[in-house]
Amino acid sequence: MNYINMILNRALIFCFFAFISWSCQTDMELEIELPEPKKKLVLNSTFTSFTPPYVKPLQVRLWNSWPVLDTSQAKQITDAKIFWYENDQLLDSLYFDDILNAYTLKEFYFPVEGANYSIEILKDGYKNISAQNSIPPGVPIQDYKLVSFAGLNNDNLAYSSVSITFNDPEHTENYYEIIVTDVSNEKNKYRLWTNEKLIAEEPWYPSVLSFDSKLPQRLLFNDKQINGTEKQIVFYFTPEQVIDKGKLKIRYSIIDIYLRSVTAEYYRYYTTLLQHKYNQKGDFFYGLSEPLNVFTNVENGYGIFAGFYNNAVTIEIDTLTIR
Amino acid sequence: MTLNKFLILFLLPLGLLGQGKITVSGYVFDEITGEPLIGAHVNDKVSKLGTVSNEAGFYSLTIPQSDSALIIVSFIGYEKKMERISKTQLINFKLSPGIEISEVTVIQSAGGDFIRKNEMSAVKLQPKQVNKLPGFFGETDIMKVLQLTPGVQSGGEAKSDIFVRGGSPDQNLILLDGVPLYYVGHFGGFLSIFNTDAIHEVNLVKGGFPARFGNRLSSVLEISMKEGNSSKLTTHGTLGLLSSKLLFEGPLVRDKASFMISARKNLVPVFKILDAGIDYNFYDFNAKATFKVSEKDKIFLSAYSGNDNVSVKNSFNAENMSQRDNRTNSWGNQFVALKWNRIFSSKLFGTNTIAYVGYNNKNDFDYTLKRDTLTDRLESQIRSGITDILFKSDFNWYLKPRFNIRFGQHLTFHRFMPNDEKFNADMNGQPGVKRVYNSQEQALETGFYGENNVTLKNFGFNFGMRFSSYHIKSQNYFSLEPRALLNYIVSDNFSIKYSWSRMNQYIHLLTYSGVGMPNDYWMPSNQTVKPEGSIQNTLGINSVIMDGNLEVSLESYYKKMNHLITFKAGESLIGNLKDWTKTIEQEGNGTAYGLEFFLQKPRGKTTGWLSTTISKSDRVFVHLNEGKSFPFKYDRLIDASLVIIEEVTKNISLSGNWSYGSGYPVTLPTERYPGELGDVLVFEKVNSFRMRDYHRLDIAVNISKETSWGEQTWTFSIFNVYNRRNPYYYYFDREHLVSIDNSGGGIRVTGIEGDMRLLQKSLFRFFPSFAYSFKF
Repeated sequence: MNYINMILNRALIFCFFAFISWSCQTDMELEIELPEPKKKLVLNSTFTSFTPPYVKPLQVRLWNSWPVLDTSQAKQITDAKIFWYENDQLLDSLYFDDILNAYTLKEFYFPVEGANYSIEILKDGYKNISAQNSIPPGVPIQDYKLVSFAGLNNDNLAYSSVSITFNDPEHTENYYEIIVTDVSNEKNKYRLWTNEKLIAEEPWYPSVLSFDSKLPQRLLFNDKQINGTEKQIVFYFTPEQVIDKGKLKIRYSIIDIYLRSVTAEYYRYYTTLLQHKYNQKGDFFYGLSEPLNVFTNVENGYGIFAGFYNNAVTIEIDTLTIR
Repeated sequence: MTLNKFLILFLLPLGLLGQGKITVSGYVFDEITGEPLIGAHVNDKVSKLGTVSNEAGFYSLTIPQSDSALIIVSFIGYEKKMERISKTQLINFKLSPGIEISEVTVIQSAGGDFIRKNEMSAVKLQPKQVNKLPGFFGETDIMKVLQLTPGVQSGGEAKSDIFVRGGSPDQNLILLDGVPLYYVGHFGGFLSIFNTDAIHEVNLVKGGFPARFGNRLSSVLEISMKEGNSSKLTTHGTLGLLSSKLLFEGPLVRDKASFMISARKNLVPVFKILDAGIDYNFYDFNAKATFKVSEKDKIFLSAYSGNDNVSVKNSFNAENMSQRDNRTNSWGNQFVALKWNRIFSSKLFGTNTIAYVGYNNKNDFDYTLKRDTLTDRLESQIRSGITDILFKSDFNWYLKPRFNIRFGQHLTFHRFMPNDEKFNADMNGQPGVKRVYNSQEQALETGFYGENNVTLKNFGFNFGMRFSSYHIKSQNYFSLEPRALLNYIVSDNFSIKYSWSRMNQYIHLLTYSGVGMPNDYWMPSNQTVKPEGSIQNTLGINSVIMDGNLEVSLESYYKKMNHLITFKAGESLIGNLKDWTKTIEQEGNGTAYGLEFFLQKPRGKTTGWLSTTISKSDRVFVHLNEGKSFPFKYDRLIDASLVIIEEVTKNISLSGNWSYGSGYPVTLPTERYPGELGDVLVFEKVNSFRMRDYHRLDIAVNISKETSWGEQTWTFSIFNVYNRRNPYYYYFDREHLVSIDNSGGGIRVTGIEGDMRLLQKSLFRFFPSFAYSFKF
């Protein structure tokens, strides 16, 4: 009995000092020397033909990359030399327009379907970059339907549904993008979601379990499952709405719904960009995702240079009192 | 090797059979517990011929007929037994524990076996000594001790996987009583599913694979459960911080039938105490019943069930509103096996096994939001698993003392469930989304093997051939796997061994490269995914020095692997209901080579070992890393361990282990640039950076006391004595600062993004623990 008491006493003392000295896990900041790679130019330019009333002037934006631990703010490069080629012929050089906040051509100019476009950019201190692409043929929207109020979402806000119908051309690989914007304001894109397997099963589409991630503003897909057939796609967005005197109302608005035909490079860039961003949200339960580099077709640089064809419809959403 | 040459080598020794022989055969047991003694030496003093008992404790020795033949049976730590024989007969030997059992935990082989046995790259553990080593949370663990041996890596902190000679965890065939298990970790690998109290013996083979082993590329880990004390009812129990366990064993019919039941469960809610917001529970249960039906027949019924469940629950209540979400991850193994051992003749011993095995992994997410009369519900279930029904037969044919043949077959019916997923969203009371994906596939796997084992005075060899086939839907795969091991016995203290093995593997493991809960997906080879294969060469020297007190081995290996698979960059199966073959890169190749040094002192008051491995392991996939070779995720240039156990007195032992490993590779971004959705990171080449080196010292003291009712043991241990912050994983984070400006008649608060930093996550620092065990 004395022996047991001795052991117990010693155990208690051990435990006391053990828990006093026991530390919880903590992070430790490290001074890791990462190599500083040479900075590269980052090009962002997606171009389309003249398709009134959905007009997007030619714009090219340029930045540079920087080391990952460098937290400098990104600034556009506004003094590069940029040359625009059409079918391998030099068309002109671009200038930086302060109003557009982008490089553009001096004269009224739009690329056309079927032509090959390339760009070459020179800037002191950087390797020259170049890229090539074209505008694919357009695929018109055969039919569309808007349901202003299709239900209430998690936040008790109304959402709308849109269905669009189109015919996918046979014998070619086609890539598409759906976006919804305020009328004539491409910058203000709505966030979209869909249950369409064609899109929802794409690797980039946020997992059904990522309901706390921001929804995408683009729905990208290819025609592998629908090649040469007619297809109807249904998707959803949250329209402008207001709570007025305790009642939820959808406000009157006008929106543009785009079914863009895009090139393979355009598709690869935006799908890897979306996947890259969604993967950065790690989850201990599901493991951190595999690292993924965003696609680029810019030689010696990063970013995208790609064409697309705009097909769109403009729809009015009437005021509607929900509840 | 052509079939003709194989047959000649395999059957040539048959010509050496002669006349005037007698055969003595039977079992060797521990007299007190009734457990079979594996590797016991059975020698004839007159003819100097001898053999060793097999995995069932069975031996067979054919000697010249003589009136003075004296059979001596010996096993380390037991008193020898002798018996005079003059005719062929069945004799079972029961050995009593005699001298102090001071053999070290790891026995590469005892003395002569180490030199003469046609075996290499093998490590044996004695579980009763494993309990003397320091353990995490006071838990000693067989897998953690194996990680301290050459060629076996841990994969990082708190992992129970073993990465053997540059291979991944799925390339290890883990057999519990001859039945394969698929995932052997509790809580992401903090400890393994193996309850050391229920284990009889552990044997790991890393190279020189005899033909009876197949289906995996890198190693075979054989773990046998205790049969149960056939003469006395005993109870063992342990109370620990992480888990507590209880074991009962005893006779059902004295000396005829016995049982062993053990269970282990976490009783202390450690993660709730640490306020980690995680609810974690696990259990495992082992049971075995042994029936000696006749002198020649024994029947075993084994069972295992284990499960882990991790969940995070959140809830929020307000006026007219409530929200609840649960995330649960659970996984587990179950098996039931019936085995029949039969002594067909004095020279032929056979084992037949039929078993059911199941592994399952579940990820569930459940979300409910109630507002007034409206209810939103979102539910996701992901199921992955594999179930097997298998039948196998193995035979030992003891033709002559120095020549025996083993042959057998196996048949396994697999049912794979790679990624069954269900998703339901029922929003606002209206039918919402319902998606289901079923992934089940079935396959049949067969195998036949034959091997011979010959030991001459200065030379020994083991040649074998294994043939396997695999059938899934309309796809058939066949594989011929020759094996060869040569042993040149230079002297009683020195031998040189070489082996060549071709291995094949029909199932694959997909796992994410990041950390987190286990998300192991066992995938079948099928029409698009080919079986993995490997060829391994091993060359080694074994020596016993300082009058047999030290055993030294130096081995080099070179292994090539093909048809490997891995996830594509950025891919995931979670929440993506689709064909898994679309998420993988295929046709990967792997190379692993290294040098292993092992010095151990297996006997005496102070025992232990020094293990050092220098190695390299690479992978190459066409669409990863621009098609260039990159380091395997667990490539570690130097891996070393020093283990010491000191028997201070009969009741007190001290032990310590120090382990070192150079940093594991990691993929880090080096650049970033602005994008439409925020900064885009540019990742360098795959696994091109190295984390910091890992090293850690653990110590333990065990104090035992015999009482009137039995024996009790206190174990005090300290994990990570000098508080090393070892890397678990790296991540980037940005400081977020706040700027407060109260000029201009108001207060303005602005968020400012601070410096970007690379941070290291460490898991465990200085960690003392204790456990209390009892036995009666």
